Amino acid sequence: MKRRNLLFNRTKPFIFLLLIGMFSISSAEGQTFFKKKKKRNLSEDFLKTQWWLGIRGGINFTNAQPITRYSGFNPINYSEESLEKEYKNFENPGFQMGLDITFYHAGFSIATFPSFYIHNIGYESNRQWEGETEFDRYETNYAVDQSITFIDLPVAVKYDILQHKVRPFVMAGAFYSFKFASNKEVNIRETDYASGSPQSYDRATLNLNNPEEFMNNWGVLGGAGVSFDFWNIRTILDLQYRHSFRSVVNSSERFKESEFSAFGEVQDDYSLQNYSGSISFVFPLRYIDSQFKAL
Amino acid sequence: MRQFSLILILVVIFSSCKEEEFDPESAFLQIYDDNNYNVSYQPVGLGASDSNIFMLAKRNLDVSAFSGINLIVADLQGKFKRETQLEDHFVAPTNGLIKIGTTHYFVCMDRNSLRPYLASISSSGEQVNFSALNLSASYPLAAAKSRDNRIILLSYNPEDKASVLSEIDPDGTIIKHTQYSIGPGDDVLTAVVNHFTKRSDRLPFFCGQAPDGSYYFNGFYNYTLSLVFTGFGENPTGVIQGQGLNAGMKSLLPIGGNNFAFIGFQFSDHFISGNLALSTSDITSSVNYFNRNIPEISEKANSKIAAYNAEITIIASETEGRQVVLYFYDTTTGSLLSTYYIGTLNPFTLADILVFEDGSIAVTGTTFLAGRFERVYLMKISKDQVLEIL
Repeated sequence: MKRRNLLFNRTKPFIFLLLIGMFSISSAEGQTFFKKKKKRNLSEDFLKTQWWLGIRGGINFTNAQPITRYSGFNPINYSEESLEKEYKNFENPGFQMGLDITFYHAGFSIATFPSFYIHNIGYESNRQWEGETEFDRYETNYAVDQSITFIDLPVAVKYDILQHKVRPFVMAGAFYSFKFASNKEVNIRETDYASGSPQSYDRATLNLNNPEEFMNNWGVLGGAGVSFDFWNIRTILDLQYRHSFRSVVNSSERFKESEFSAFGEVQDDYSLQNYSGSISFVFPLRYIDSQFKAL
Repeated sequence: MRQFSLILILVVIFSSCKEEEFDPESAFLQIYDDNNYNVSYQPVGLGASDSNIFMLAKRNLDVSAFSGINLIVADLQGKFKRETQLEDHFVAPTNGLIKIGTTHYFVCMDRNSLRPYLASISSSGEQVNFSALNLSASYPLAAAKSRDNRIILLSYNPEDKASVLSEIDPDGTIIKHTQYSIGPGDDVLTAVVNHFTKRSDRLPFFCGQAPDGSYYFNGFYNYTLSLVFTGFGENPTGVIQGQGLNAGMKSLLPIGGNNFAFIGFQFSDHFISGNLALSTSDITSSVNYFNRNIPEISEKANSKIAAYNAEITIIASETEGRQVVLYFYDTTTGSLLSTYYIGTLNPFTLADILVFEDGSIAVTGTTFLAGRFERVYLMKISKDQVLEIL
């Protein structure tokens, strides 16, 4: 009984998280367990069916894939293509942190990882004005770092390829992400040719929250990983790829007057593609007693 | 229990998945950029047809100190369609575009003969036609629409030293015509020419017709910038005198009877009224209507007044902070309802304001890209935004 209390104290924070996760079904499962406890072989049952709950975190890289390009400027006498933004591909690291909730049965698992998921993307745009002489030239460069935070709710099916102490697995699923917050930083650098040779200087740095410019997101995910057990916890390492099919940009806000649109900085329509690496530490929710041996 | 929990979670998720609605015509800010280092645009008028928005702008000419004329055409979402540089012997367009039927009009002059011309813009914006007006050489200062769908023109005749008021049929026929001497003393020609050639010396000329059929113009009378009321008679019916070039009215909108919404200036100060009776049959002074100073309005601010609907009047101007400010006034009581500012990082100036039938508002003027390139902007404020402002 003392050992049981000790385990309970250790896992108390995760039990709290469990309540937040609304998984009341686990209590139903628990009741079922106690009724059958004396009748079944606990070790075999543990192997076959299990709930896992824990924390999860990691790093991710996002690519913004333009769907339709826009500019805050209407060019009168030059090509609109010269206003197109150049996006960084999977360069700015983002982070994710949340819960790992998995139901395992006979090699297959249904898992969800409700998380705060921060995507960081970057792009640049340039403008130049020229006159009749070499001195009549002026250039601007806008370097934008855009951070978007979602509350991410994925659901994935995992299959354990091997069911030993080290368990490689593959997974596939879908996710729905609720927009939570976003922030844009714009560094404006200008180059003046007033003396013939270019003289560059930083004009300004703007940093503003812009959550109204984004919408909720959804897509599919796939990945692979490996889990292994030590002490009473299971450690899971995985790599995932997430693909969105629609733009996350709120079009209705694009051309509204703002600090950014006043100098021509408006969002393209773009979808997000994302690679992430995560580590989870999960605990079994059933059979927490002296018979427990994590496998 | 398990099924119920899953259903509950799914309901919570998907009930939050409502798509954002997008109406591209509802609100926008568009900036029309030219990659020429040496050009600058100064819009003077804004108009709209069923499928186009017109922005009439001045442009610098190498061959004249007077401004040439550009016409920028955009679709109703503000997307650029075309720009037309009108022949460079037509200069000095009047402020504002006058819509009669499906055609927009403005008045300009031939820079060689100083003869006023009536210009008409087709509804597609592809054709601009000019017809010479049968007037003696005179500088077109302001134009407005009459209650009979004609064009009222205020001009200055330098030979007779007179302010000229004309009512013109859209085909260019002069219907009514009168002129009032500016009186004995120094000529005001320098001030008139500077109005066209120096931005810092522009003057608030305007004209119009009140609901009771009487006419008014803000121009030179008795050597002073004055608001003159007239029935096209030999003499004005009333005059509200300014103080040389340093005081007077900047913009005015008739409300009914002798009541007007107006913005005036007294040296660097400004005063506003949403509804006040003006003396239209006596000689008075604009300073009599100076109620309180509006310190945020800049000294050389351009100002416009437009009726939003029967209940609300918009008075637009420019602030010391280089923003555009819209004051919303209750037309009946003359009380201020709300204030709205355009402009954040870049400076914004005001040229014209237009109220659409759907209750949205368009504003045009200039902004300075990279702090130095003066370009035309078009901002549309949706009806929903207006309701939020109010």
